[in-house]
Amino acid sequence: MQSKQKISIALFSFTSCEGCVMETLNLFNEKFFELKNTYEFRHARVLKQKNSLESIDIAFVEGAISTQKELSKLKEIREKSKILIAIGGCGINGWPSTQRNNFEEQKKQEFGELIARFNQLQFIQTIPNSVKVDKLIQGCPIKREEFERTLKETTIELERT
Amino acid sequence: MHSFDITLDEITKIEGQAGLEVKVTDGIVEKVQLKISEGKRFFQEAAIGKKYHELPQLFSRICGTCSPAHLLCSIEAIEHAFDIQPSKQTIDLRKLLLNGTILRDHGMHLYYFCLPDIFNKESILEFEGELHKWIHDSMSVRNTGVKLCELVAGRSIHPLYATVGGFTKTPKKNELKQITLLLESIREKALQLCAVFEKPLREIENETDFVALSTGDFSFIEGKIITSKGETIEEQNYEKHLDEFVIPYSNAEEFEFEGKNYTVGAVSRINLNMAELNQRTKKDCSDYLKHFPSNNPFENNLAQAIEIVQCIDNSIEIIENFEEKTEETKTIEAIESRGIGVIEAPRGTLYYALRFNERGICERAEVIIPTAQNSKSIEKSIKTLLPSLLELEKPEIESELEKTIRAFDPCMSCATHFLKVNWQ
Repeated sequence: MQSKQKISIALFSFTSCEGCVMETLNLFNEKFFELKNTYEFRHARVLKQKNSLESIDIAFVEGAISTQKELSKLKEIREKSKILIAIGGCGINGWPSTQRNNFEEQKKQEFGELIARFNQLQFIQTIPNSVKVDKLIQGCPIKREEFERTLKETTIELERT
Repeated sequence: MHSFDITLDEITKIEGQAGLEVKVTDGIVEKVQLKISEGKRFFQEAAIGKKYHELPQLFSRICGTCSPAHLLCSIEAIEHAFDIQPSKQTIDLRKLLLNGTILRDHGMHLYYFCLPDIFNKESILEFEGELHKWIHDSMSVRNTGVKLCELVAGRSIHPLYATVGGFTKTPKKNELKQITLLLESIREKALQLCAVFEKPLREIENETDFVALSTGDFSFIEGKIITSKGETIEEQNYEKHLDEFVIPYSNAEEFEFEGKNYTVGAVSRINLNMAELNQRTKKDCSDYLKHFPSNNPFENNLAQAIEIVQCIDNSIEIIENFEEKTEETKTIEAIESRGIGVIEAPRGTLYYALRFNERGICERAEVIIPTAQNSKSIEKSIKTLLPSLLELEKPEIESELEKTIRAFDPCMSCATHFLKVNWQ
């Protein structure tokens, strides 16, 4: 009997509180073995030391994009992932990570030098504004049940292709 | 002689993103820099102009894993500003919320981040055979924490029911008693977690003071700030003792207490407050408590495991004595004021100072988070450890450095919520 190759998934966090990934870890409290036996976690810095950004089937990405480095990384993730799913308020709508975009001019000028020094972008971007996104899971944080449902649905879709 | 540069871009199995730069020349440690490199989110600045009731849910989002601590500490600062006294039921529920948070959060740090180092595995995902026991334990312990938080506050991440003045929804006693059954069922697992962390990964000594809130009952909310030098400081007066320095190469700041480097977190709390632990915890953890007071940062892991037992026992007691009451929502009247909140977040002492105008609009917010207070200790510990690592191959040195940082359980989302601006 041929063993099926596991679907590879990845978790990424950009400018955020990491709450959506934390809530995903709460799913592990209930479904650890099911997840471990069904999926290969190819890139998950919160769980693994050795991470590979190659041929990812499903990438879950949280957080807004506030530096050139984050933008480049996100583009690489897009390039190397079949499905990219943006999760959480920060990554999809911007709040609260993009709150400095809406500061008054005077406040923005106070931070101008610091923003430049730490290579932050002039305007913090959302994930859909930066790359093509295949699915969204809204929430602040997301619900772990929705993460599970989306993961299962996407797995079935991938297995059909 | 040994000379090398090590740059760790993204340290794994910690909360958030951080890097490390180390330079050793001819066996001498020339540079150790912890670089907290996350994107800036400007919470203190965003708070200005907002009405007080918007602030707890805003500040909660500084950090996903310690959100209940930020929520409750900002609530405490507002209540102190407007002279609001929470009821006993409110205080009990807040204690339960933080206890549940410790189970989930210390549980994540110990089971997911640190146990792989003990068993020489790259990840908990690699645990097979006998090691499956630890996966099962992680599920039960953390799930109990999540269930307790969800019952008391609606969610474990960015809780919903806790607000200024009290709770918008309260649990029934019989619902809490169900959680007691879960707490009793995980108690033995928590003790086994203490046992597996009893022997520290390394024997090193970090010369440092310790600071923690002493609450009388080893809860995390209200008390006096105490130090390893024997000082006792009222929460309201913390600013006279805490000095802040901006670190040029990092997105965070550095702190000194009374002019000296200090450490906060579980190891600090156990060092200073172990006499306050629950009787049951003291009895069953007596062997483990013999390791304290400790200057070894790796014993922070054992201290966290003991705190899990404490939070189990403290919660069982609170629930036993809990009196279900329907309480009226408090009327809140804003006044021109400045309020200070100090609580023990999972990783250490958290400070909030909020200033309001007469309409309750925030004019200034200052937040000092535990990991920023520990960044100097982290660097010092690495400097202390490095000479003993020089004979190793580079990947091994990197691994040992990561384990050292991990022992402090740093929370990088917290550490980078803002960029400091000089107000002069």
